[in-house]
Amino acid sequence: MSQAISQRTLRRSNRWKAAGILALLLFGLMVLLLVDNLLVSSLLAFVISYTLGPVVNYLERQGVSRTVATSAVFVIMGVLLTLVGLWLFPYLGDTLSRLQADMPRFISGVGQFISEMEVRVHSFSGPLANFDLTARVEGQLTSWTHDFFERLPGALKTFLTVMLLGPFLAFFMVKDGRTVVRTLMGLVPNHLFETGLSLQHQINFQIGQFVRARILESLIVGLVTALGLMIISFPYPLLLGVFAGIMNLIPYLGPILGAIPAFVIALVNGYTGLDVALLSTVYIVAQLIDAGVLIPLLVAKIVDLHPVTVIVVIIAGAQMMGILGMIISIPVASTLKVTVGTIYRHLIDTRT
Amino acid sequence: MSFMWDNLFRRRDENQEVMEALRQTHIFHPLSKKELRFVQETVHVRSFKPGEAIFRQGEIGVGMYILLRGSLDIFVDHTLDEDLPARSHLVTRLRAGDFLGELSLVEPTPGGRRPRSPPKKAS
Repeated sequence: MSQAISQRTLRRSNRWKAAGILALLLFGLMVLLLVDNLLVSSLLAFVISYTLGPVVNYLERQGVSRTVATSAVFVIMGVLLTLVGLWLFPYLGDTLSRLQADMPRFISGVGQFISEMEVRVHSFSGPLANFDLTARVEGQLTSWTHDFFERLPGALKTFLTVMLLGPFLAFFMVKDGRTVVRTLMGLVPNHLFETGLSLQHQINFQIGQFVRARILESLIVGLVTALGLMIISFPYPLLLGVFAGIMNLIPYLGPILGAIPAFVIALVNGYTGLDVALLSTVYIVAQLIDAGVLIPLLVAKIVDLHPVTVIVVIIAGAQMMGILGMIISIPVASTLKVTVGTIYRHLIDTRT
Repeated sequence: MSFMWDNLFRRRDENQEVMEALRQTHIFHPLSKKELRFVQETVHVRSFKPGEAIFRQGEIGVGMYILLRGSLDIFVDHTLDEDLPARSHLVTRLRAGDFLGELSLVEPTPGGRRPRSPPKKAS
């Protein structure tokens, strides 16, 4: 029989393993943050892999090899998205051109609205509110619009890079993800293996459920909004629907942010009374469906965070990474909660 | 330090060894080849040094172990009198092909985990 290993040697080995894992994670994080477009591409890859992963797993359970199943799913999705893109991109291009032509009118309309507000404020505040807000706002909006359309080609280039890199990474995440996890788990010391495995499963399950639920939720909200705007013959229904769907990813604030462009357009186009009521109804119906049906069915039980925690986390995410930070802040916070909880349970459950 | 990487670098024929071990474990006998391959994907192969504990009494368990190589001693820790130091005695020795911890997979508990019974040590 081999000589039993001393506890001191074992502890030393486990410390080196823990240091190895930490160094690897830190290195990975550095690469993600420093290489251009890699973070966004990786996030897109995670979303794609969590969405398509269950389909590939189902095919694998039917006896199809993982490589064939992954390739088939990605090829089919690629063909479908290409067909959708062939119809969508010309429409979006046309819409953006019209929007660019309309922007001066929108800015002028907003300026006029603010000017009217300024007159009312001056009428009862006198010299206390003596600043030319209209000119400042119009100037700022013009500057933002100019910057937006000037940066659009560069943004499109980044978009295309991310759209190519993201699915490429996602393909290998789906195909080889389990192997990578198994290799990484090989670094975990034996006495932490079960805790690590349990943690990895919980995080994987929770994030997967969250991503799939939020994507479905945003798709439905976007679709309902676009359809509603089409029914009431509001301009740019698809663009506004897509925007509402994407903004819906941001908890609490998203629905409000998603509705702002539509109400700005309504304001500028001089919508009153029934038109504004119809516009409001479209957005309210979309949110009622979201809050009354989609969230209870899909999202509520997945993320076990107090509403105050959610707000604080969103604000922190916004400060660190803007809109992207707001979107990913909830799954990050949820992952941290699961991690801390599992480590705590491991520490208190271990008895000798 | 050489054994630090034992769990990191695995030989490819280990997959065949795992599949063979699964086939020979009687609780997996009813499974088809396709189902066994699916179970194989969930298996992690771990190396333990002589004297190293697999798990201890009272720890929450999340999985089942099948012994591929070597042997495993099962001890139970018990103290009849709180004033006396804890004592343990050898319950049994498992050999290659034996398995343990299977109840962790099937018994429902909060969080899906149940406390382990006697501690196991590699020998």
